Amino acid sequence: MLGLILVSHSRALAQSLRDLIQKMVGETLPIVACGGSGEQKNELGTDASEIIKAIESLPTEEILILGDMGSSILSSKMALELFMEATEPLESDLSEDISEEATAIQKKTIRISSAPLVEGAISASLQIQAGNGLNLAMIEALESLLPKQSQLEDSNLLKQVKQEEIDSELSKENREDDSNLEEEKSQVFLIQNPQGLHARPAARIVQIASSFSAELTLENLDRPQKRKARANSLNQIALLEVLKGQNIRVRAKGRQAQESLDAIALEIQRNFGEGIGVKLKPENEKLKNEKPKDKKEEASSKTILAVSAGIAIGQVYFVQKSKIQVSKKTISDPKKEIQQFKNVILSAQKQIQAQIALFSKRAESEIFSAHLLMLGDPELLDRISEKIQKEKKNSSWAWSEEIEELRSLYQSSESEYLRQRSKDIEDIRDRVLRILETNSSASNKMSISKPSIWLFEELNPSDLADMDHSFVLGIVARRGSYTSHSSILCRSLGIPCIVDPSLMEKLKEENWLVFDGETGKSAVNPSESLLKEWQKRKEILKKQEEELLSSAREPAVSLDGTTLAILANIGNQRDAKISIEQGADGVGLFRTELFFLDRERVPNEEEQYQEFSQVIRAMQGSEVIVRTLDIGGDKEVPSLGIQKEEDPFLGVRGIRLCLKRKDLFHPHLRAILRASAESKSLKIMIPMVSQVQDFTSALEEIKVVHRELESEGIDHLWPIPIGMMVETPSSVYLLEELAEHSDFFSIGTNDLTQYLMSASRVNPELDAYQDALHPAVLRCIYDIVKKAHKRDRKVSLCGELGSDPMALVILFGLGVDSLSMNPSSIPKIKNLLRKLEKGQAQKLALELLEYSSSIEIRNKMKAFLHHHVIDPSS
Amino acid sequence: MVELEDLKQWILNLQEVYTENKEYLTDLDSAIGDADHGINMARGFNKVKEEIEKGTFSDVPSFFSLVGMTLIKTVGGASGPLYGALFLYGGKAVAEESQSLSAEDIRKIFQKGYDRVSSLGKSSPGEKTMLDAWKPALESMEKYQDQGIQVMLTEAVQSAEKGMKSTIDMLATKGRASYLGERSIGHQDPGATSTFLMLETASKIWR
Repeated sequence: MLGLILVSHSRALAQSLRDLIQKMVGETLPIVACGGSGEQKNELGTDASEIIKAIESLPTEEILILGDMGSSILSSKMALELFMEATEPLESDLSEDISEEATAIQKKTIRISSAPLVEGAISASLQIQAGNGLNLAMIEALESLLPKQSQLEDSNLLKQVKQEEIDSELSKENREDDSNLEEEKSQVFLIQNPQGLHARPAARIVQIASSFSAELTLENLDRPQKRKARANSLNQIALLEVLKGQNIRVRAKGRQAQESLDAIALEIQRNFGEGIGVKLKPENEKLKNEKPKDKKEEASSKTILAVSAGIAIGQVYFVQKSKIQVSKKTISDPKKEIQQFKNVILSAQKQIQAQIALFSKRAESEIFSAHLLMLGDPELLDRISEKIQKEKKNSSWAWSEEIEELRSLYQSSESEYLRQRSKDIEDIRDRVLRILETNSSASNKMSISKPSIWLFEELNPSDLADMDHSFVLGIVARRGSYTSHSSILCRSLGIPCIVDPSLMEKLKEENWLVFDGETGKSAVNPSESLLKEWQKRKEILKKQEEELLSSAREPAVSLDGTTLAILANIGNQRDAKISIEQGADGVGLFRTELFFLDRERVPNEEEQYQEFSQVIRAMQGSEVIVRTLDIGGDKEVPSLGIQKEEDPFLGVRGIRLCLKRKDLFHPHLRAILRASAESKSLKIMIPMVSQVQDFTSALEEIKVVHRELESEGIDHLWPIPIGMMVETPSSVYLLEELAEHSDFFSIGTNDLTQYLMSASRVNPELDAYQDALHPAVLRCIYDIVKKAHKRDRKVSLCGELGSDPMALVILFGLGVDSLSMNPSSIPKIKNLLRKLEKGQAQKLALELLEYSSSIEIRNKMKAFLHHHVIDPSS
Repeated sequence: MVELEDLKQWILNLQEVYTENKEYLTDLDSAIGDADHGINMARGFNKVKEEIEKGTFSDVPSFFSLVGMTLIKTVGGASGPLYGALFLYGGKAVAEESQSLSAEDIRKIFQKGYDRVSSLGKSSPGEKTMLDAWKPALESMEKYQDQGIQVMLTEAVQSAEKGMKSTIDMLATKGRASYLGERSIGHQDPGATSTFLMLETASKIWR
């Protein structure tokens, strides 16, 4: 997750901006406002120490800092340096080279952006809201002035003025030296010095450029809009914003073209004297690298990619996307051509806007919003108008040429994400070309008379928007990837889709085809009986899906009217959101340790508090059971410096560790209790209790923290229900005594099974001993339920067992009060429960307790589910 | 040798110097900047004085770090992080727990501080900044450090003054003054001036 720090000379400005964003974008976004100077922070200025505090307070692993100007930049840089040194004391002497590149500390990646404060902050926040990371947010922030510029068109004016200046200078130069008719030479360089082409190296290039009789231009190949700069303008070079690791192309014309290129090559090779080795990249080598390196996600000639689930049955339809031929024509009236071209862009934009309206879900419509932005890019349109004007050529040709250049830029990107975006560029290219060439602004509706399976060489997002979905049974493509925008759209539209090149080879016009978008299986011209099977399967799937979707958020009530709470196991805010979507009635297990496992440093109280409150807020008031730190065992936490044990599962883990490490437990409990103020239905659960004293000591600790918070006047929920996990055999025998203290019980079946069966769950050879449907485990669960209910305590269950349909029937029968599971299993389990009847489940469960092996139990359950409910394999 | 007490006296004197020169520095700044340099420096050193008098330092590095952090927190403008860096990092040039400074130690402290200021501001001499006073001063310190603190500082102050005056003819390319472009020429840089004052005050106290 990404957090945002806003730095302004004025505290009021920074805070108001934060308020504005929270109102416009989202209340819960992790944003910290910094600003003002002096003790009261009421003087204008910025304070690096405040920015450090902001960095420390944000629990996110990525942070983007946006500031106004002047000292806000200096203070931010200073804060970053100090933060780095504080967290990496061993390498404190960084004075030699402070890189402005992303600085990864303790898994925190922090960047300072030059984006405009207000626009940049809003664009970045939208990216955070969409769940995107630092890189995308930074690109968006840096480009956040584009919409405004295109609306007000003043950047065009600026460019016009600048261009006039450049032109007049160029023509002056041309008069001086008329001999630059020589062939143009060019070379691509990778810039390696830490600060990129900042002022000093840029100045060096200007020097070189002016000492040769050659006209040199530079181009940053790693910016989406390739800006060009004359090599004799310091400003223009600086505006290329060439960062470390980016490629520039240097073109040279004139008598000393080669010499000047050589001189620049030498300078870049020695890194402008700034140290660190360098790589020269000749043009041809660059071409080699343009092929994507990471092809994992793309279907090779043999593999089948299951892109979008669902079964498709039907006749195939080869979609002929007529390749639009573009010819180069000379035109007589460039002004008119440009005007027409602009109209075409307008119609294309209108088409896209109509498609945005078509996709109601935000994420999907954003795909087309991005297309709209690309189309509206004033730089691009200017270049094309210029091309038409100067070369007196038709707009289709100018458009194809320019767009091809842009496409190849994306295509050659190192990032898989950006490479996939080249498909979007192709989509825009074809959309505009179709309007230009067919002279019709009608959308590209494909004509077909009956519902079919559509076959594509390659699918584009606009194909999906253009097609009449009632005629699309499924889609097969020869090329594609799981992450492309068209694949995302297929999934969101529920259109079954696979990418299968060898299937495409086999298929002929009129063929019948069946395929399963979940498994990738397919059959061409299936026999009558086979077809029937597929049809049946499809109907079952469809019915199930409908039922699941319609009822996911309803409570799970059995036929006899008994309600079973179906809760989610979660580890973070994302899980919490998913569990709400999947219809969880609450959270039965919030694993707080996940927040500790992936970091090198123990999160402090504030960080934990932020994280926990976010999760609680995401659950929108429904019940949340927070389990205190359960580390040790298989969950090692590197930052704690805990010694490795011989028998970790039988060692210092869960509450045993917490009671030994109060330095850890205390702030952890404070964070949980503070976060409890966000909720009326928070409960605390203690893991790994194996004797009564474990629980009472934990209780004591919680009370201490409560009194502390109370005396500090910090709001929290009190009294708060406190319960425990039942996962050790000893706790089962002590349950009556434990019930005196514990408000509720939750059975952890994974550990309970391994301890009962005395078989390590990390040894694959002992897998057969890990089946929680073993009669020993089931009898144990039944004992727990009976004992707890006798004392009026509720029993939940939160192991993997809960999501097993067979187990559901038994656990329901044994009287478990609620089940907590992986959020994705919830709709399925709720649906199954609605088909059960308490008495029947009870009878069955008690009967199963008499069995002597898990295999017998599973066989019996399979038969039961088959006869009484549904297909057990699903 | 410069003892901790001398360092303290230097700062206490600097507070007076910057308070006396508040308007002078602000006037210089109003020609090419935000008209706040004098106010900012005076505010910063008032707070530094308060902190120093609390006496929460035990050696040279902790002294410099206290001054640096206080400036960062209270000066506000660009000179906050810049002078802050000068002190904060400068103090790291000598051994932990050092109680006194030789001529060479003094040079090392300013040199290290200078390097950080230069990298933080992404600037080098010739851009009409405080570096234009520091650079010649440091060169003199290197040259005269073997002749004792007094000689070294006297020479350094003279060089700093020359450096400060050389900024009058310079074109600003960094900071607020750079917005003025050619119009920044003809004015003395306030940052170079406050640097000169800093060194001049030291030379009067450290013997």
